[in-house]
Amino acid sequence: MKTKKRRFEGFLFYDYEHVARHLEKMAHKGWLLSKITKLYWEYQRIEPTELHFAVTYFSEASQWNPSPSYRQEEFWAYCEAAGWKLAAEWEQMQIMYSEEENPVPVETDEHVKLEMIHRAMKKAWIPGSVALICLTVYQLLDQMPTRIEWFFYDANVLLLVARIFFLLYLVLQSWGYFSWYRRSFRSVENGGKCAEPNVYRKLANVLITVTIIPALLVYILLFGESGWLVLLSAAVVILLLIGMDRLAALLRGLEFSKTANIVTTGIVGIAVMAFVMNGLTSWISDHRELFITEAKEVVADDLLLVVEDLKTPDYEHTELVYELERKQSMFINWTKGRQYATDLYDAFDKLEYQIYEVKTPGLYDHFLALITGEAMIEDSENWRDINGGRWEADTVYQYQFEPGTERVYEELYVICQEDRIVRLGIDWETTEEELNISFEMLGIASRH
Amino acid sequence: MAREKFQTLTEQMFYILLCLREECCGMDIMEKVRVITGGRVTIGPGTLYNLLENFMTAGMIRETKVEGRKRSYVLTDVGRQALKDEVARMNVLIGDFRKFME
Repeated sequence: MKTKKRRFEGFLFYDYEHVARHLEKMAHKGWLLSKITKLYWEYQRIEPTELHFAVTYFSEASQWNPSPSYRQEEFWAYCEAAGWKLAAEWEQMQIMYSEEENPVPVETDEHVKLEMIHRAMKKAWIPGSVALICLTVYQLLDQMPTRIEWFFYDANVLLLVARIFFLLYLVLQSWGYFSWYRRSFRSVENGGKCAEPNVYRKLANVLITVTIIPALLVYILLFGESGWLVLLSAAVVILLLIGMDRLAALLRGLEFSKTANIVTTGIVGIAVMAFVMNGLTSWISDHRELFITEAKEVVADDLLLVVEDLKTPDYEHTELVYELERKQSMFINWTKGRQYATDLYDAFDKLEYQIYEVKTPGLYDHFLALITGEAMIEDSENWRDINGGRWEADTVYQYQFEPGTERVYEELYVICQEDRIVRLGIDWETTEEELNISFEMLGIASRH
Repeated sequence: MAREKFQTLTEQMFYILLCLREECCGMDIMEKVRVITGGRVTIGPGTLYNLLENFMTAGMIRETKVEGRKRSYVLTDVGRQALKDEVARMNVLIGDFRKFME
């Protein structure tokens, strides 16, 4: 028969009432809480019994202390004198139980109780939440789509959605606490009790659940062809958390001071994480083809347009490279064709085209701005519309290079045609005929 | 600030201070209050512990001795005055009641 049970419990730190009622039900079923770790709550089998639970807070308690402080032991002694025994600790939260039929409550003054909860929250939960909110905002800002390539991967969108949901979850949780504190404060000032944790608690739980869905989809999109990597990553994170918890406990046993324990566990955690991440990153870079389809070397016939379509190349080259790259996402279908020579690179006429088929019409102008680097291309001095009815396109922009500026391509065009944006770079000064042929090969017919 | 906090005393605060008119171990206060009030007022261990800390910070009581996990306290002049002020406040209430209701 199982004597231990481990459960994941998603309680809010200040939700003392629900924690106590839940533990009473567990005791009624024959399970007494014995330990709380970062990942799970551990229960010991007991005879099913009616126990009373009380959740209180001791602001000086810390999981990093080598042993309970004098004051904490004194606090427990007070509780013991009133018939309350310690079941488990969770940071500053002290979970007590009593076998007496009608024990004196641990807290008999709502004002003092609220003060204790707020002090504990200020010490542990609030700084942690603020740091996490700042980190998430930073990651969000860092991940904002500022380059067209961002839209090539659906995983980016899902990651953005997951991060936004997670940020909302964090904000809602913090808002929920402060709103609860305000309501409790008013109630206690008027002689009432601390308030019930509000609806934000449930909303936050819903949000964290929906955050997991896009996050999982990201994983599947990224690691779809090697599903075991998903499990491995999850296992690594869980093992690391358990390992850090065990290490902290071991160091506590070895009488490490609070600071020494935090520093040692932190350094070991970061080192292991860095080692694992390094291994994972090098594995991914060795198997890039599983995740990222990069430019593939092809033959000339696979490209829509090559130099040979326009003119006889200046030199005979043994190593001409034809590259083709494709990406598809919910926003865009992208094709890039490129031709160059590996030897005498600068001497050989080279050429590159990119075709963007925009699937989301609302983002067309935004994509055009990202491709051209101009927020309002119509007003841009760098790009000039040279169409004037010459081709079957809405607009044909040519980049106006300043004389003498360094450039990859001699001529650069951006063509807008219905839902398509075509970007063409040619390494020499083209004739009218060469330009007409180039456009035609890329699906833009001449009107003459 | 601390004085303002204890401008008026709750029943629990009042009886804790009353018990400390003579030196007393913190832990024993729970039982003493129960006896004095005939079980009408009970003080939980968490509340008692925190109130004793608050009274210490406000200078209303002082620590007299430490024996193992037991610390003893006694009322200071500030604490004695707080008790007197509370009684005076209640006397005003009683006086007003008598004046208008009897």
